[in-house]
Amino acid sequence: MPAARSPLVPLAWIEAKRFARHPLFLTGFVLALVFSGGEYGPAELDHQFVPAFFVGLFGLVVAARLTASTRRSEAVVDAAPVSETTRTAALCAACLVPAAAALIVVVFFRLVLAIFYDPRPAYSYGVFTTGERYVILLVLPVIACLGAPLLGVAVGRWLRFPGAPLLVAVALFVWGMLAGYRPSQMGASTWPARILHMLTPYTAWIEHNGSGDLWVPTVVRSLTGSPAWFAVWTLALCALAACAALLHGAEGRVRRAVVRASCVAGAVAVTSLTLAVVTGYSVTHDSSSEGTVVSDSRTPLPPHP
Amino acid sequence: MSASVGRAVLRAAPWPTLLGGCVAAAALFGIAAALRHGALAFPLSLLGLGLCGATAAYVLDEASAEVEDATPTGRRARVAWRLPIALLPFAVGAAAVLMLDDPGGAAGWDRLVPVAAASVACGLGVASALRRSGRLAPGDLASAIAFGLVFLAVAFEPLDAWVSLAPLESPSYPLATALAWALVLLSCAAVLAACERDPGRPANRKETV
Amino acid sequence: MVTDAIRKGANMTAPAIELRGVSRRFRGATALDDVQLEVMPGIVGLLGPNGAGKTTLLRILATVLGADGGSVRILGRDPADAVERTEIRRRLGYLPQELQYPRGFTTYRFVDYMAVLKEIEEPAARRAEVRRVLEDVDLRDRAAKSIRTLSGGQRRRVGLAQALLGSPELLVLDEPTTGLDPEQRVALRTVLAERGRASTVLIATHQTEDVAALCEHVVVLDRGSVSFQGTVAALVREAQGRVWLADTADPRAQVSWRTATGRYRNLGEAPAEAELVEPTLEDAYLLLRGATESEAVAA
Ligand SMILES: Nc1ncnc2c1ncn2[C@@H]1O[C@H](COP(=O)(O)OP(=O)(O)OP(=O)(O)O)[C@@H](O)[C@H]1O
Ligand SMILES: [Mg+2]
Repeated sequence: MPAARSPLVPLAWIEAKRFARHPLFLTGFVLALVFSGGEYGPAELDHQFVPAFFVGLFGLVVAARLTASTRRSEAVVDAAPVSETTRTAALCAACLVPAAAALIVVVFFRLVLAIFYDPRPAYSYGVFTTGERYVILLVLPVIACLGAPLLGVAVGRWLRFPGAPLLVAVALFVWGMLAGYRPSQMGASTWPARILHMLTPYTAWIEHNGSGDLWVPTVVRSLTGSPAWFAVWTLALCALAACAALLHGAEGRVRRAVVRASCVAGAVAVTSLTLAVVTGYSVTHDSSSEGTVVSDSRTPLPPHP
Repeated sequence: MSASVGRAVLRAAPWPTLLGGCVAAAALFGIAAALRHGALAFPLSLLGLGLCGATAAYVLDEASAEVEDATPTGRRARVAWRLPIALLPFAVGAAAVLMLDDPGGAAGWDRLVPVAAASVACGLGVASALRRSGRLAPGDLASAIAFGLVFLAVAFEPLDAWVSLAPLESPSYPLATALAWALVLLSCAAVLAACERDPGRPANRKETV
Repeated sequence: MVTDAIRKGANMTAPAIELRGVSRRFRGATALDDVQLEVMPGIVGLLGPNGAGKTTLLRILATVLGADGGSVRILGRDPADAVERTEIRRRLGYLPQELQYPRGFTTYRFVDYMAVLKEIEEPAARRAEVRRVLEDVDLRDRAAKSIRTLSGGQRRRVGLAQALLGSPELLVLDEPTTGLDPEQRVALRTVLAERGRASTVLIATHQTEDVAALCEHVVVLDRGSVSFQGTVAALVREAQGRVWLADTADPRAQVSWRTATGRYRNLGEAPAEAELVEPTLEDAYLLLRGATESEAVAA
């Protein structure tokens, strides 16, 4: 007898195609490309928001809808020999679609900048090294666009009240917004602020005094934390979201494996979060054409001249 | 139309979802109020206004519309009873922005009241259009779409060369802003009127009322 | 019951439903094409293969879907006219093929809600009516249960209960017996037979035994048009002499299948020596289907 092939791969293909064809996902993807077609606002490091919002948060809703869409035919689907865990795993694998879309968006943005725009003044990247810049612009958005849809799968499995996906997407957005910008108003170098700034699936790395497409900022304030460890932390969050999704309906050996994996992911998350807070920038810096100075984040940035 | 019909139609609305949506929006406005002097209050209230529209998208949900349409209480009558419910998310949004308003300050939060109205209208319009396409309870999808539309419009201001849609500071073109929102309200009303026609009317012929 | 019908003004001699050249297209598909149909009061079965247009026809008769062309008269009224449509709806009970229920409703509350929409306003009368229909579908003991917690067949019966509200003159039922257990099916037949004496009951179904047990008239729909209309007896008569038993599947037969006794039931033009048996409605329906199928192939 030939060895039974795992149904995971064909299932994952089916789910990936459903994801890629979903109108909401396509809308978000196109909007992300449109908003990457020019310079996004005045500061390049802010561009990470575009894929995270249009592909990631839209993807959360899409993933939750795809997951919930089999609920109607639950009776048939549950009777199939393929376990719920395998089906969830296929959905999780399909979340590579938005991640790939995010990669396309960030690469497209880099190409547009390289071809059509002059390089920005060095101070507009704050204190971040070239490596950190690439983490912020190329890696973090892709992780965000993997993690949010994975959370969407978990939402589709666990939360059955109407509107749950939208509510979770809004909550995630608010969390990212508060963690990203609130700490600098609290005094960014205090411990609670530094922890809050990293304790989120999405955070901001700079603030500036530019505005609109026309006003290039004259001062850019780099925020606290370590982009590299933040990437590890958000990856661990992705793993936790996937584990949460897989836990639904898992039994016996599979359940124990999922629980063990979540423990590992949890340990990695705690460690990398700690490292992101401890090893990253501990104070904010203001950069301008005159150079970089350590700043008190509570003093507002000077107005644009 | 008798009051007992109205009561029954109102009772059949998806209240837990509607109230839950209002509470979620109120919570967002609460955070915005707590941070009212920071830069985050404005985007938070835009999210809250989006949630008001998303909540309104559930008002028209009728899972068993197929049998309800076959009763003498036609679709128009049921919709007429249901529509006032949409005042609830509107009231939450409008009350919140009025509360945030500080008459002496530079920011005119009360200018966001039309946004609350348009957001709710958008939710209803999208839901109604989806109902026309055969979804009896389109709330889930309609709320996501309406939320996306409203939030994108006010947060990204795609038309800011001509009109400011969420003019916290005094708008450069107050007339254009008013016109834009009036247009949104009117088109949503038109969509609603067109899509909530009785599904039993003949597809091609004119109704002979 | 007959006096009941007279009191309500039901006319037992005029056709309850008259369709002339009715058509209905959906994007890309013609669901109904030039349907001519006249239905007299009584119980009428509507048969036809999947996708024949039964549901589309019943939705038009239930006034929840407009026809594209042709003329429709239901209970002597024109559903194209808003006022007359409401008049039809006052006399109508409808069970769609698939019925979703609003979240969080109990059986009683849902049926009561439908009773209000059907303008049964007086509270005491409404309570009595809701109890009566729940009794008819044997759901009295489930009245306080949330619909979500009912079994599939019980949920179906909630839909039936709301269709029976107000003893309608026209009952339009789309596959009412799907999911019902044999006892419930028999019980439903009793209820419908009772209703059929005073009003018009139109049942779309795939269960030919239900049609045989209940209906006097039968309409067969095929690819959007009527391929047979007449009494059940007339349809069965057409199969007379065309059903035979044999030890093997006869290659000359249009259809044949192995029965529980191990012998084969063959339908078609019987050979001379064949062991003929009494046809059932199912045989007749299958033969009719075979005939229209081969016509279509020839065309
Ligand atoms: N809302 C719709 N949109 C598009 N096509 C439709 C719609 N409703 C029905 N159809 C098409 O019309 C045809 C007739 O469908 P209908 O549901 O009336 O068949 P039916 O006889 O009830 O079948 P069944 O026995 O499977 O219930 C089918 O080809 C179907 O695809
Ligand atoms: Mg059907």
